[in-house]
Amino acid sequence: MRALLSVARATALEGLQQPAVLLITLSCAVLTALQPIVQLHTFGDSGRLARDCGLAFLLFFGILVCALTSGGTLAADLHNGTAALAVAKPVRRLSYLLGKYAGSCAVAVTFAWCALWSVLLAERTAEAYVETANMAGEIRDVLCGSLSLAVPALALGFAALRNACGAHRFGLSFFGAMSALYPLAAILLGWFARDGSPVAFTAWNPLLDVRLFPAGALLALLLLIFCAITTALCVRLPVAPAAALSFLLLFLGFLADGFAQAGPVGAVAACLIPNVQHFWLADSMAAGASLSPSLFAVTALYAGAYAFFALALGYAGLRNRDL
Amino acid sequence: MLEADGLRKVFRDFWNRPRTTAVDGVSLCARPGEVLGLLGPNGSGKSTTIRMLLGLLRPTAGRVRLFGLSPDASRARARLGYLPELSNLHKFLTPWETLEYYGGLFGLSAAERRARIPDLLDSVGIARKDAHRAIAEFSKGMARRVGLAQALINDPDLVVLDEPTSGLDPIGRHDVKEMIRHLREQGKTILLSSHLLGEVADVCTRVIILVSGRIHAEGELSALLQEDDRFRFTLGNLTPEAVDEIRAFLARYADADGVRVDHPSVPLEDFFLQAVGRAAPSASAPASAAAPAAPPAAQP
Repeated sequence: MRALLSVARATALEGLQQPAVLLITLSCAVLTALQPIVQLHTFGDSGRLARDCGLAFLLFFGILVCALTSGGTLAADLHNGTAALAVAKPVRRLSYLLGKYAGSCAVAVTFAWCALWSVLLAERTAEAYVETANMAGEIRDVLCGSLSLAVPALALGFAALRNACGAHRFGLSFFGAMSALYPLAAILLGWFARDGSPVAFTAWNPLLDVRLFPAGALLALLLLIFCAITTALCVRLPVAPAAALSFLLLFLGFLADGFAQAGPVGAVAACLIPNVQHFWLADSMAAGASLSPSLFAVTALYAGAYAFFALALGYAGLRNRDL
Repeated sequence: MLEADGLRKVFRDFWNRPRTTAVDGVSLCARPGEVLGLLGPNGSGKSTTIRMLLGLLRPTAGRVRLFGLSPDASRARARLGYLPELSNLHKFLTPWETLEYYGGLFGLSAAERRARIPDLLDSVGIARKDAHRAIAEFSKGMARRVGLAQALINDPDLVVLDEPTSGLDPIGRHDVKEMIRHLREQGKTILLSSHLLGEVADVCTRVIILVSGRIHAEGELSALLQEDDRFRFTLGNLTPEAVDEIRAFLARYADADGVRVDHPSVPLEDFFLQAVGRAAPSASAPASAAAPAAPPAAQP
């Protein structure tokens, strides 16, 4: 167990320090924050657009993060001999594979945490109908938009300062700051109304759509599945083909329900590919629905079973692989 | 301690067709406390043999026993230290974190790791100020020293060193040789793979010479190198007259062309170490030139 944790820790450290992972997270956060500011022709659905786009960004960029961390570190380790050096220690190949998976899951969850908060703030920033003593109409939450853009900038500045002063790792400081600053910004916004006016201390309300938390948690579960898929693929493939196959599976996963109704072959295909529809709650949220705990548990079980299946295939590929 | 019988490795192409036979019928045995040298030119199958011995490569045929167990057994690997041909370390980790990581893989507790790491870093010549710099910033030789330290983190009974001096300067090479001697004195068994003959001659007790994946010679180094039909006398300083007299005397027992009298020369490595020591007695990073580096003793 200690060996597994050591591998997981090193993988997570490596993943969080990869410049590509940092840039992807930054791009996701900034694009999500800008989206409600630059959108046109929203037909009164500004909040929904911000939410749907944000969740789509979380999923798309999240799969890139999975490919780069779980796939990238494993493929690189197998290629350059770092995996061989670890497996020459009293570490079973299964423990090594699971450690790699656990480490990449930690990176994916950190990314999903940051991305989810940016979606929450973007949804609040989007135009909404507000009635106050002075006005009534659609307004954009400028303060929230500014804060959601300021968080990545502040995180970058904090990481740069720590790196310059104490030689602390830039990537780790950045992700640490992002993870902490987003919730802090949300807490702070609780004392401001959408028009930017302060509210009484006791009237604190962050005005966030809390249904986004289960929606984000489901997408995080989907990312854990893709971490398992890319980990399994990278036992034999370089990272680029593994990432391409992941996106193909994502595309097919959106069509999984259609496959299931297309005869026996389609039903088998629907079982083999991850059904992304189980994890995509945006449309249900638009219809006013929320996620029940039992449905969440069933989906988590599905995610666990799928990840187990993918990792079992990965282990079969690694078990007798020459290192 | 380490036994291999009839090892054979055939690498195959994508279509599973045989491509290269890297090792063919290698049998060897490392006895407790000896330094066994695996010699051979590039591509002779040294690294492939080592990787099969460690269970990293699956042999096409043959059998390996490590401490009487399969090389996949965790109990066997727990007593093993391995330095690969390329250090293969995580470049984003510092030397300290690297040793923490590999110590964790051996299941060492945090207290054990904290106790062992400073001594190990000292013994391989990594200064304390460099212990918290990322390995990506290190030269190849410095990274090699960290690689050597990770091979000793578990105080192994069997140390497998694949080209341990690759990328090291003469001081580093000298350090490694001293460390191997010190490990031998501690009773450790060492399997040393190298194509540097001088390195092997300096530290090994027994050698195996591999050529094209097959064993071509094997035995005690002293027996292999000894020329039974020649003699050598080493004397102190003599006058030119005494030299002529001895030469004339020896000519009575041997062909005059076969008698060679000259001044022995110091090995270049010794001369270099002395010169570096004279030029900068306190500047050289490792304490090697002055005192042999020694790995830390086993922690209870």
